[in-house]
Amino acid sequence: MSADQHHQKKVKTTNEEREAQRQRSIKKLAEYKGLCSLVSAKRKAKEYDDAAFNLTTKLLSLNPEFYTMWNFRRQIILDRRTRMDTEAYQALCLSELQLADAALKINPKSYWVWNHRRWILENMPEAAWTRELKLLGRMLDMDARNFHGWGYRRYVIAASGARSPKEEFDFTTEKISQNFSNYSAWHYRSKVLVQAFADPAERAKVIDNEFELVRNAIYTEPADQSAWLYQRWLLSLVPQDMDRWSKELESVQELVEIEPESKCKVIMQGQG
Amino acid sequence: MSNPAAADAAEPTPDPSSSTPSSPPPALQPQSPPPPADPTHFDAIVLGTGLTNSITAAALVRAGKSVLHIDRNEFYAEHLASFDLVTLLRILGDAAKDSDDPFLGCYDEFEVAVNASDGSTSTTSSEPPAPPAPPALSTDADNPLAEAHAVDNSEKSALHPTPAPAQQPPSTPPADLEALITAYTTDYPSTATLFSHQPTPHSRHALLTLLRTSRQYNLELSPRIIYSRGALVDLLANSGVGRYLEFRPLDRIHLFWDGRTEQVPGSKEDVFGNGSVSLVEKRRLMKFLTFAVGFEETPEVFEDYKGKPYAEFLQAQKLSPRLIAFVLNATALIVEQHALSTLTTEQGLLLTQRHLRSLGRWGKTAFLVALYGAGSELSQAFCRLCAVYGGTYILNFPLAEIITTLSADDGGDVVVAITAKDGTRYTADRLVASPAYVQFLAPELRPKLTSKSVYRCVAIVDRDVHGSSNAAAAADHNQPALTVTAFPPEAVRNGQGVTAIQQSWDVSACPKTQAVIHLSASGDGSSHADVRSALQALVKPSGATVLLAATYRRHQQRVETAHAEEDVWWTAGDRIAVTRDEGGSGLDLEACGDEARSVFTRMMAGAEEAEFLPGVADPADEED
Repeated sequence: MSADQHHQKKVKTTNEEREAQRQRSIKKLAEYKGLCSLVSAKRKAKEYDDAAFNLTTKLLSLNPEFYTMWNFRRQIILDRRTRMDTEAYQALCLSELQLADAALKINPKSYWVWNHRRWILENMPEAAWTRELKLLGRMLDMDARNFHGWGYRRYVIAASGARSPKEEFDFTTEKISQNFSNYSAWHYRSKVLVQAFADPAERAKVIDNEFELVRNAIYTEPADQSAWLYQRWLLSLVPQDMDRWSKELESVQELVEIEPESKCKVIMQGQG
Repeated sequence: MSNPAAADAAEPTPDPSSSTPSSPPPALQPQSPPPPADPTHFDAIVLGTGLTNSITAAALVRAGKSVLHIDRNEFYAEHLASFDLVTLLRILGDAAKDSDDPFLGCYDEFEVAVNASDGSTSTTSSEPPAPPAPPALSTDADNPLAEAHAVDNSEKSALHPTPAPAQQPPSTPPADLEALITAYTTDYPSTATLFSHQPTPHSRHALLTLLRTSRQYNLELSPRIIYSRGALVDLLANSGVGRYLEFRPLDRIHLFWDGRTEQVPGSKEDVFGNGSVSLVEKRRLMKFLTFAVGFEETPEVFEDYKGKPYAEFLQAQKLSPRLIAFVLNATALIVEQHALSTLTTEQGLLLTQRHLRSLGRWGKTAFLVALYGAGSELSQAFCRLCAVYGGTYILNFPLAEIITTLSADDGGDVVVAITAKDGTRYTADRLVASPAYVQFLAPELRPKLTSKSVYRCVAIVDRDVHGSSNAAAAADHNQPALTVTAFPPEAVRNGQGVTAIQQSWDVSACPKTQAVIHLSASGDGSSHADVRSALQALVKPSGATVLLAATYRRHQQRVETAHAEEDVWWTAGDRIAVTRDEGGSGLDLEACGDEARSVFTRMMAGAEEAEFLPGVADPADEED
């Protein structure tokens, strides 16, 4: 908000202004179309020059969903690599990550952009994992249920080994406490739990806590499926533990008494 | 920047010039209509710059009416005003001396207690125990009182239009401040452990230390929070007035229960993560909250409890006493015993629903806190809108009387005239006045006023009262949180329930790391003891030190209207409206917007259809 709040225009949008707006859109569209045909021509001619590279930058900033252009861009990058020293190539890759950052701001669920990031990281001399983790933290803060973000996180952690399974387990605890209606977080939790707690005694203790956690989620919001799924997965870890199974059944029965109409009754019958 | 007032409103830093309660509306009026033929006659005169009246004035001007908006005080917002520390103490001190003034007469039983314990602040411990006061007071630059007067003068020169308010008597000599302090520095029998029994050199020195930083405080007479999805926020957004203001989300709401404060679960995630509520309680609470959000859709659930106490209905939902306190005291925010027992199920559900619907818009609670003080800033923002569209403002107006006459030549029309002590006279076709102006009306036009006591305490503490008692951890901590704490009746030997609001530097209430606590209790049998014991219970766990606590009684004025549900008194054939006293015990400002709308609608009745505060184009929207 500008500080100059006083001299606000009082006029409403007039017809002339609306027309001017329309003309601007038409102009914009023509520019975009012109750009598309220019880049396509370059691609068909296999011209991997600077002009082609700059045109793809411009085009992809306007429309990150144009996946053919990401492919063309990678062809140009590979071509350039042959003529570059490692340092310059590393710098080029970093600037590619910045371009992808900007594109994700426009659409955080774009397959092509996530794919481009991954390709860059796999093809750059020194993969910038710390930068990626920072970005991922911010992305999941903004939208904790972006499954692209979660999938990519698993990839980055596996490829970089930057964080231990225990740290990742704690990360899911944080995200679940912010919003437990989150399939991605529960799913990731199940993956890292097994890695983080290998010792049987320790794992048994953790699993006890997990049953308690999931019970809290279920009692808070029985209609939310994600917690029920996690409970089912937990039970699959202890198929022979009859005490545990009957304890869980009891808890569900108690819930059905408070909520006779809820769907969890069906779940109980299914599990029983 | 052509207009300093606009820059101040947008400034996040606690700039003292914007934080004083009277940054004037701009003199610049690019869109104002041509000057009227008779500059002393207006379509409407509005008396009192409280929020209801300020919204009404802005709405009338936006509908093309000429408006003269007047306040007898030298500051805006009446009982919602916000002051620096010296001004607050001065006004409350003056009030105790001048019980005949219709505004100041609403305040009495004013007491100040100052922490005098050795070493409580670094300044006191490093200073010799002898009173260092005289040197500090002898120079004008260091003298907070002189500073306060300097501000007064600059305000006057910035005021418009031309009729200059009568000059105040010459500056009170600096020694007066100390006399004032001494007169109202009394002992606190009920909280003797926190405060000294008698003013000592230490306590006087501690007070002067605070007064020297007076301008860093914005202390509200009636602290208010704003529902994130209430009608008032809509009004701020639609009218464009919100652009003059800045807000922070309220961080948490607490309930004092079983001898300690606990956070009230404000969302599904809070319920899920709450370690002190059992599983079955969680389910019942969630079930109730889910129902309450859209309670009208399942009328069968509460049909049998219509007209019956809300508490009874909550019991029938099998909520435990603690959960009932969550809902009644900390969600509906009702703590007064009479209100608790008379609140019907429908009323209670509406309050609960209003709270729940405001969740999830900004921050973790249902409320916003306005920088520099909600009531004061909102009132001034609407005044600014009014002035931009040609409204005329006079503060510090020495009103002498209001004369209502039937004009003989114009078919029996009512004309309202107000005169100042110096003979200045303005006339209008209509009048909107706050209760502080009732005594200037002719006796046959006055509504009956009754009053209700609200006990208030404003305390400056040295740290977050919800923080750790570990000094290192406390120092390491961020700014004190913005919180509301509800004390149900009898929670801390308080007869009446108490509400407490903690404010911080985040909303420019006080210097960094300190916090300001506003407490209030009202209703039959409420007393200073209620707010004091709540304050003590609040600060104890953190080990926070109360640097200063000012307590006073406020007489909330009630206008007896024809119908119980009506807030506005109408007389002289709907030409004169008397609005409600806004400085009561409630925590929100929703009623002000509703009331302004109803005053506007009734005043404009018969005229061509006029929109209530139509939108103003946002320059930001017009960017390509």
